[in-house]
Amino acid sequence: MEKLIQKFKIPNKKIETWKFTDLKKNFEKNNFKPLKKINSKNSEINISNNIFFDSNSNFVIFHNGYLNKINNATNDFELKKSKEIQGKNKDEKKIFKRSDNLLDINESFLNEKIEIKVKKNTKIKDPIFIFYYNTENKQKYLINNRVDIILEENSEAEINEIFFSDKNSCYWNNVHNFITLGKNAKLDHYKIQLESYKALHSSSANINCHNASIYNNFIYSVGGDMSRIEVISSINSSDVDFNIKGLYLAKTNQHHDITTLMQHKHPESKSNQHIKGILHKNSSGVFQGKVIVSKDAQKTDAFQFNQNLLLSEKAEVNAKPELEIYADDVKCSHGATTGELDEEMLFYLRSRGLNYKEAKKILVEGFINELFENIKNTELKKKLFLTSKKEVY
Amino acid sequence: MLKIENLHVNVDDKKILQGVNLEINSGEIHAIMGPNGSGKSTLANILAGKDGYEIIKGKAIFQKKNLFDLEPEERASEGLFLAFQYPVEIPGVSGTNFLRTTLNSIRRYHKKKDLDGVNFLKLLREKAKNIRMDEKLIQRSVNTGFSGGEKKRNEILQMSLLEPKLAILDETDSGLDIDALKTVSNGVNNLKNKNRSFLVITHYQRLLNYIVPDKVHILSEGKIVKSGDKNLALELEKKGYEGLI
Repeated sequence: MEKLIQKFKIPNKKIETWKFTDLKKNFEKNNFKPLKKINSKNSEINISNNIFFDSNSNFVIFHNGYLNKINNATNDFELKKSKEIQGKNKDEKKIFKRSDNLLDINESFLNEKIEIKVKKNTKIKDPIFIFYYNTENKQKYLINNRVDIILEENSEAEINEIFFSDKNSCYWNNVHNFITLGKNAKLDHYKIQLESYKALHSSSANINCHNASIYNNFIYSVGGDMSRIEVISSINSSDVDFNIKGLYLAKTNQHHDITTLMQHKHPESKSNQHIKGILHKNSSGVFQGKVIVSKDAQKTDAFQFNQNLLLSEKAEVNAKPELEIYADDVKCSHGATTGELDEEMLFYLRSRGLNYKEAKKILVEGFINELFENIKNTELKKKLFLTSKKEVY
Repeated sequence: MLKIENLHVNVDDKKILQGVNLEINSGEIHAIMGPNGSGKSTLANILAGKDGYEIIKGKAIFQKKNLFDLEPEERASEGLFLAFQYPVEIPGVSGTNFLRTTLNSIRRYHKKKDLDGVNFLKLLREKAKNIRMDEKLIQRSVNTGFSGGEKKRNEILQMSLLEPKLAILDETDSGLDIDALKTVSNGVNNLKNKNRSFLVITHYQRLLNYIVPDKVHILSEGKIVKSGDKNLALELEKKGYEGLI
């Protein structure tokens, strides 16, 4: 196995879409080895101390890349295990415009794959939680999971992925979602990245959207040594409503990257992205957002906004919004701002009796809350808010 | 309460205030009027502690303390309040949370215990009712998407909650319709007592029909050129700045 992974070209700065995130460097620093299933009986693990875990909810737990427990509490979706991707990969790379090898690595060293299917006209009331839990290992290891999600016509679901681990675990988590939304289907998809500060996280959500489907993605990314989260759409029909709200919080030497690609291939759909970054100390952040509107995709409405808050002079942000528009009757806009805390706001708060530290805390919390206000699941919102409070200082 | 002596202030090497003298005693209401660019807002901002101003000369003593030695939050805690001409919008920060944090921060400065959630809300409701401010507006993000009048009302709400010793109102009347002007003025008049002073900065005499000043000063080119009682404002209304200065 060791030899095999060296055969793959690991994403590095020479690849245009990886210009700001040198994954190869991180890989070489740690020399991750693909993890094989431990032969000893895989005992059930306990993750009840994770704030997002509720034993009565629908959930799936991956432990070090392998399925550990499944609870289909409401019994209104199908869950299938499989180990093969069977060459789908090649087409998928084309549809979602992948120029790197992450999917090939995922396929070649796949630990486990699941497929979640929601049948026609079924509306799942309770969210499905997917936990990716990684524990400490003698060796620094690579994990590859794949989760496919299919929502048939008129179905609705909320799927929440939680990535977390023991404090000192050192691993590369390479997890990819392939999502198909049927006509009028609606998916709320939360991605909560709380990996260990030694981990390398690379994940993508690749979404195929059919007529009048709604996709709401929410990214909350705070963990990892290096993290790259991608959302790639293929909008194949009209009246699609595609939304991404994302927040990363970078501390110490962390590197956070959120990269999106909107492909409007059909007329009369809309996409809306709002990505925020908060950077402390020597951290670095990246937002790459590309919107492609094909010649036929008239009346497309695509909006993109990136806001970064620099809380240290040493922190660095690379923002790269790109529009590629081939249709002539569209509404597209993008914007990016990067700066320190707003002086006027700071003074306003201080003139009301708050010292600099208190004022700063309130403003950073406000910056986060503005995005959290979009979360419809109030229970999750509360928990995310509590989690984020620990990150603000 | 407040004594300003020979205050000279520059902004980017431009002389804005050029020797302002002003003394406000406890319980007094003073009005400062003056044409655009005369330095009214600079005076308000420098007293509250805003950055970007260079003090060339002079001092300001507030409650026996040299104001310019204090940070903005210390000035606020000592009882100085500035109602902003353009209150800033703070997205994501709920008004209720903001108000409670500021009130408790000032209470802590005076070694008083924090007000708990229940008692705070009770107090807030009462204050909001007095100035006819919708509670839903307070729960929203501070000033975000508020109309001009709502923002000004919010300033008065904060003032009545923090109960300052000296409140500076910087063009609080601008952008207010007559009803809002009355409610805002009532808010001020309700707070009036022998231990509390006001410095009202305004362009027009109109506000002074509702908040009746003890003294009126005319600021022109960075100096107080004329002082008088409330009749000075009426005279100004008739003759205009050109006729008086």
